[in-house]
Amino acid sequence: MKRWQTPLHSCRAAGRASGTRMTQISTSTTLAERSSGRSAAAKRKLSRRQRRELYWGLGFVSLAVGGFILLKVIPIVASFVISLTDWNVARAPSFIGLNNYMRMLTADPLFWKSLWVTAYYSLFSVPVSMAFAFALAMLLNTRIPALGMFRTLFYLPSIIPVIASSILWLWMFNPDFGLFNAGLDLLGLPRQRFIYEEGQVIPSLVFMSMWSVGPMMIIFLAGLQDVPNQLYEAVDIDGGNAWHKLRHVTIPMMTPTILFNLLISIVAALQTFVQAFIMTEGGPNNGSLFIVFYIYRKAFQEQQMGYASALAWALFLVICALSILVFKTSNRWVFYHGGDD
Amino acid sequence: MRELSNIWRRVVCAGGVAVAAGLAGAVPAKAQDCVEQVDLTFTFWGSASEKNDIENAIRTFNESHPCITVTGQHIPNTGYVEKITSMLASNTAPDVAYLSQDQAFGWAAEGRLLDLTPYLGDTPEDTYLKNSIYRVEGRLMGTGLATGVMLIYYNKDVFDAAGVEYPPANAAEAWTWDEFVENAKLLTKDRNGNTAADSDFDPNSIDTFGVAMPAGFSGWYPYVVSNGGRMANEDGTELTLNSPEAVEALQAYQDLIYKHHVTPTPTQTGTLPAADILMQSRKVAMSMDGHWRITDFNDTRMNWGIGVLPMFDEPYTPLISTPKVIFASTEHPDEAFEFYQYVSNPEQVGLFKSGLWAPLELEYFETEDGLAKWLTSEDAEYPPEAMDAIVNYSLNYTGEQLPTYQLRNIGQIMNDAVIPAISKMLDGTVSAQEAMDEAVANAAPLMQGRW
Amino acid sequence: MSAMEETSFKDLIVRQRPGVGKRRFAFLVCIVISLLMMMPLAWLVRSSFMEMGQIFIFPPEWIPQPFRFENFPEALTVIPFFRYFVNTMLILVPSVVGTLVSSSLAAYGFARLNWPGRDLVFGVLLSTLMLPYIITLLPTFLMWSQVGFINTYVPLIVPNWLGFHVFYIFLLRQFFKNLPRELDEAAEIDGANPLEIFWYIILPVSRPVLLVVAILSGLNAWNDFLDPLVYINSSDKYTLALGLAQFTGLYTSQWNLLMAASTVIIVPVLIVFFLTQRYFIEGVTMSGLKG
Repeated sequence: MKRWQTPLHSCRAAGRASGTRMTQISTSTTLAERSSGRSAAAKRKLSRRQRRELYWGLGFVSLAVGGFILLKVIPIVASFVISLTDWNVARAPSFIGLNNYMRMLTADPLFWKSLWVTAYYSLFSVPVSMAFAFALAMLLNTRIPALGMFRTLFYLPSIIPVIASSILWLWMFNPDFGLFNAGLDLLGLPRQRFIYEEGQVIPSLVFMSMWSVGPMMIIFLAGLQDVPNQLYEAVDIDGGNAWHKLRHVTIPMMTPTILFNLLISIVAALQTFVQAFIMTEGGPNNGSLFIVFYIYRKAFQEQQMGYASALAWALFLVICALSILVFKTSNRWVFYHGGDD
Repeated sequence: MRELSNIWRRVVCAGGVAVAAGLAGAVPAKAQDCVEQVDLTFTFWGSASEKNDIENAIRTFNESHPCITVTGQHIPNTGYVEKITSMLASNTAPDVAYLSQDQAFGWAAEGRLLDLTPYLGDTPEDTYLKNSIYRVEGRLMGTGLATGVMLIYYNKDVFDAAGVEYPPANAAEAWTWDEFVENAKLLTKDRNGNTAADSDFDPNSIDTFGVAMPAGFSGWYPYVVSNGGRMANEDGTELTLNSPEAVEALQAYQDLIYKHHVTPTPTQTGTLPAADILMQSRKVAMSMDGHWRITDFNDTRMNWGIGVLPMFDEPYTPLISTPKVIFASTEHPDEAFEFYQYVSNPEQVGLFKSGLWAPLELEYFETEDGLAKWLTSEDAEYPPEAMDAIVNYSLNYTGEQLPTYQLRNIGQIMNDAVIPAISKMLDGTVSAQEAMDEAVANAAPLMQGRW
Repeated sequence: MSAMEETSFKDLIVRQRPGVGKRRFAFLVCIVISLLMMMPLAWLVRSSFMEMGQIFIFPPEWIPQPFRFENFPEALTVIPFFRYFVNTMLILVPSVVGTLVSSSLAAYGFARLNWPGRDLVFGVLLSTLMLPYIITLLPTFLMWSQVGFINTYVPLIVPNWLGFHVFYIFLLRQFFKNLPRELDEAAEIDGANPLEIFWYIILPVSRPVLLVVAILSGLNAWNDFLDPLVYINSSDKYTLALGLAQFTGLYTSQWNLLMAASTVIIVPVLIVFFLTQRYFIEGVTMSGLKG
């Protein structure tokens, strides 16, 4: 699952730097304007050294830029072209304009269902797993014994191959012989059907997502360790309690990290696939029909390549819209402490 | 070093016939007699043992046909549809292949599969089981790979202990649905030893279930047909699973689980071991399953038998078969057809004798000689009831071809409308009537007629 | 970190120290959460040693009786472990090398060379983190099939040589940016060109973060499932993850074998993780990204 897991799975880094990165993205246009304007006006004035750095720079990034064009730009454009066609693989694609998009919006209840399922899962799992990761990071930011061991143990589930963890959780969710119902029995609670019941499948998968919050936890931890101690001391002097520290120091200081984790986990949650593929096959009653799984089914099982591409574009637009929304609102709540860069 | 150079030589040889021909001695002697060396690709799925048998058949074929080299490509069941789709999309389709029904028909209609009329003649129905012949818009897409009917498997010891008669093997004597339910109740026991027919039976602690039913299409559809229902109307423009006949049968099917408590819920079925293991451990007394299970049951040490399905109005079992096709893109249709026939020939492939496959052609069902090539041969592994429960049943009670081989867009109809509704029904959340009304409504925009 | 580990348990039970009760509470909470988080793994291991009969007992038992070691050989005959392992490594090793090469080159170009348009190019590259993979999957697949690389490992390896995973570039760039400028300048005075500086100066001091990238990309290749599913046709070219997925399709009910097979695929990851976790987590937390 590397590709759609990559963000969440591998972003165990940002820490404070996330703030840097976000500012860069949001200011990239201005930077661009500045640099292009300057380069046009001052092309002749590029010193030998600057020219040399330009050539070397382009040389160094050429592999990545080539990959970007070959594996991202071209496929995105191609995908849009395919989305304008009716193509079932067996015959040549025929151009049908925006019909696929019309069908998606007006005549496909499963598209809306899959959108709903995906949104429901994301709205639920992103805050829950972020809160959990944050809490774990707070725990690990205290001075307790065996800290290294706890950090390892909390992190460990997230390195387990997603295939293996899906199989494992499928077995634990088993209503008749599984671990969870045994636990509920022990507590005297009624048994549940978990992923085998439409109403419970998404909450069950959200619960499962809490198991592998390791990367997010590490990012939070890195952020927490950068919060200057003087700020907490200031709260102490003012007679504030732990809640005040959390509310007025920790959370504001952590907002860049929170933003980073938020974006990464939204993008990852919207692309959930393996759970549907291995555990539920989109069921019961399409209750876990994640949009990526639906796209996969349309493309590779029902050979509706054009329609599948249109669905993929819809997902792309949703992610873009959400990212922009998060960015736009972020300057209202993200606190950039100075001296970052 | 020597080994390395050998490997290198092999690589070079594989590089092309021209190169290979240049290197005298590196070419197998037999190949030199051929006008042309023909290479064919064959994609198939199946379990490890099935793979083994197919690979054996490919080997013997290659040995007996020196001018043809078939390369088998085994693709696991999960992912086969996706793989073959991507092969077609990338113009690397194989020559001969198994194909899923919903794919095969669409592709045949697009002309991507070879019309086999020149090879099989205009009326292959005269020599083949008629339901194993696939026609698409007047073209002959081909035959199945092999056939199989749905059966009832049972553990004789459990029946003897409960004092219940074995399920009949002759379709003319098939149990009615009510007899079936009564017997299943007698066979269902809770942990205290009460049967489902007793008044103090505890449905929450069932130890042995009377019968396990597959949740898939082949599990419930036979009873719809047996009760006079159909999947869709004549021209395939409307789903008719909410007809009174269909609903009655499906409700009876649901009642096995929640009313009579003789059948495990689908979740239980989905997570329990396969029927042969369940039955051996006496977790179930009977199980509805396909002919192809015989090979698994042969591996158990249990005392088992086979019988025919219970019936409503008339005995019926579906004839199930995987389409086997030749892609139109093949450069060697004649050789491909040669292999096409070979792989379904009981004399060449061991899977017929071992109980996984039944043949396609009538002569293997109707003549002594034909039967001796699989079912009655000395090394065959069929129980004695098979003459009735398989041969007679396949010949006389398989009705018309299943709608899954006839309806256009069947893949989407099943995925988007039928399967979700059936799973809701089997979960016990809605009645058969409600589930089927929903299925029919959801399928309405997807119906595109018959092939 | 070390200061925290030096805190002995004795310190914790001295009542009057401020926050001690709170810390003890945190410690207990950590123990409880650890136990809960390890429970699934214990369940996995327990199931992988059980007989079929015992696995279907409710309420479940924790200790296998008897221990059935044959689950492992049996599971491994269904998944030809050794062959799939070799296949996986054939993808993993060149992928990791490719990722290291292409990402570190690009990161150096973005971090330590000053050229017009640099930040714009980097911003655009970074924005592809938001791109859903499924949207490029089909066209990319068609592209590879046009050049005849279906059912080979090429489509699984080559993207790594082209910096496909932008995140690693980001991570390395952050690290490179924090290295003192003087390193380059001294070499530059000695007449070294940027490639030489990169190779002789920057890379040697970047080992911790390179290790992090190597582990992350190795994990990705080990766990990757969708790409092999799409690009690999024949079962003898399968990877372990794909083999395991195939196993689920065939044996959904033989949980003891499934659990044994899952254990087999998890264990190598765990070994690597335990061997490297110190450098790994601390490398990420401490050295990687200090703004």
